[in-house]
Amino acid sequence: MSFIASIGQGAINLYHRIRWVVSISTAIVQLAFHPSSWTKPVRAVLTRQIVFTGYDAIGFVAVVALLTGISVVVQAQVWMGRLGQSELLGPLLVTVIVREVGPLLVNFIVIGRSATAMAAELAGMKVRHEVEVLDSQGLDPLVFLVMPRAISMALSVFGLAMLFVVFSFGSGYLCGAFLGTGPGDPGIFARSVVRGVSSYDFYNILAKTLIPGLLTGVIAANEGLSVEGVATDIPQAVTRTVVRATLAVLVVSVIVSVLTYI
Amino acid sequence: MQEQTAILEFKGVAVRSASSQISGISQIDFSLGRGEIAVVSLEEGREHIPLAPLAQGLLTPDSGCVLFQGADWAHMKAARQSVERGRIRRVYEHYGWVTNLDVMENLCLSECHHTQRTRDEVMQEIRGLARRFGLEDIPEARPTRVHGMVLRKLEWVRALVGTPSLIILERPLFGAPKADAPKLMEAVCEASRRGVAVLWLTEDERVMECRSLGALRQFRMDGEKLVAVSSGRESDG
Repeated sequence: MSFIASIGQGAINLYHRIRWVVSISTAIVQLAFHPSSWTKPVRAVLTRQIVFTGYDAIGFVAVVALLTGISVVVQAQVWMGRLGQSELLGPLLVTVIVREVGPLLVNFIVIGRSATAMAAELAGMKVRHEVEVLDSQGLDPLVFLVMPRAISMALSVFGLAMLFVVFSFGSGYLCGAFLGTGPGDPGIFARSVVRGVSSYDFYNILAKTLIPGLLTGVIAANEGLSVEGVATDIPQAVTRTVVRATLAVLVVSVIVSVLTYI
Repeated sequence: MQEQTAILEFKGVAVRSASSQISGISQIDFSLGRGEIAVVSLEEGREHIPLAPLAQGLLTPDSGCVLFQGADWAHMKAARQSVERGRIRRVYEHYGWVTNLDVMENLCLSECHHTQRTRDEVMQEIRGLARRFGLEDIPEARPTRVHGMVLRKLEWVRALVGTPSLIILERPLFGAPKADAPKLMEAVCEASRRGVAVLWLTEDERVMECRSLGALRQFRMDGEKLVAVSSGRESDG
């Protein structure tokens, strides 16, 4: 009985957590469309977070994209050539890089690099009573702390994913050309890729970057701000952020993929 | 003639002690009108009295209610609470800074968030107030890199910036040079003459004895109760 009860309790807790994250995310999107939310200090936080989460991560994302491009694009070129299906190279690359690998890897990079930092930063603020200091000055923590961070994370994941796609295709093509495995003419390669892109891919990459990015920001903020006054709880909040944000990214990715092919 | 709405009103407020550092309070009844200064004398070393968080609607009383400008904090929506808190300035008993912002950003934060004033305009006012307390420059560093005494005086500056309705001073002289106390009292008096209500919690007897504090009402904490020592109004018990 207690085993069944614990499963039931776990399911109820999971339901409450998901409902909480979804309701906060919805509130943030509503707030973001309200011009009065974007006061000067809130805009300053957004800018700072975009620089940290997006701009500062470009170098690392570029390196990962270059390496991914070399391994994925070159292999695809070789095998499609051997199978005599070179005309399917574009659709295959779009499926692998644009729909799956690009958004997933960028989301994981942002979780590891920025969401952890965000959770630790907010947890530290909570422990030092700085959230109360903000609240007492009339700066709603949801508006000042959570909204600009979550929005910046969504925008940064989208921007970095676009860069990832461009860098990985570029590096894959150049490596293939260098090794003599690719089509040689960049025009043929580009046309092959463009042919593989459909309007669904646009919605797909939007859904796989903006939604998980937003959820990652909300989860990191929620875990950070749920720390109750003890500094030793901060590492646990960071760990929970990584686990829950990774799960959220994978679940959204699977749902969007399934919806794309239905 | 219509009676003016009190800026701050405690009605039968009671809070149970939540921890060893926070004192419980019971049956607190008082009101504070425009331009009035209420000084609450605290015993030295006494744990935190949660009057400031109650006055700002950050803490919900176990019984009774707290009204700010006639509205009960408990019945306000979150957005309205934020707007109303923007009309309150506070010197904190604990550390009152946001460490991932530099000192000037901290000082400008509330005013830039709640008003349309430009940052330059706010900074100019801040520099003027800082000079008044003997600070020629505002440090460009983050608060953790600034000396505690300077931070304390800058908290006074932050409390006086703009046109608040209420200033709450929680042991503001703690950690500050004694010689600067009269400067703070003078600045508070000026704010009170402009119509700002002031709630001043202090262990320092000089504040209680200061005759220059205009519409001064004096209280002391007797255990969990607030007792009027001398009242500027007849209505207070």
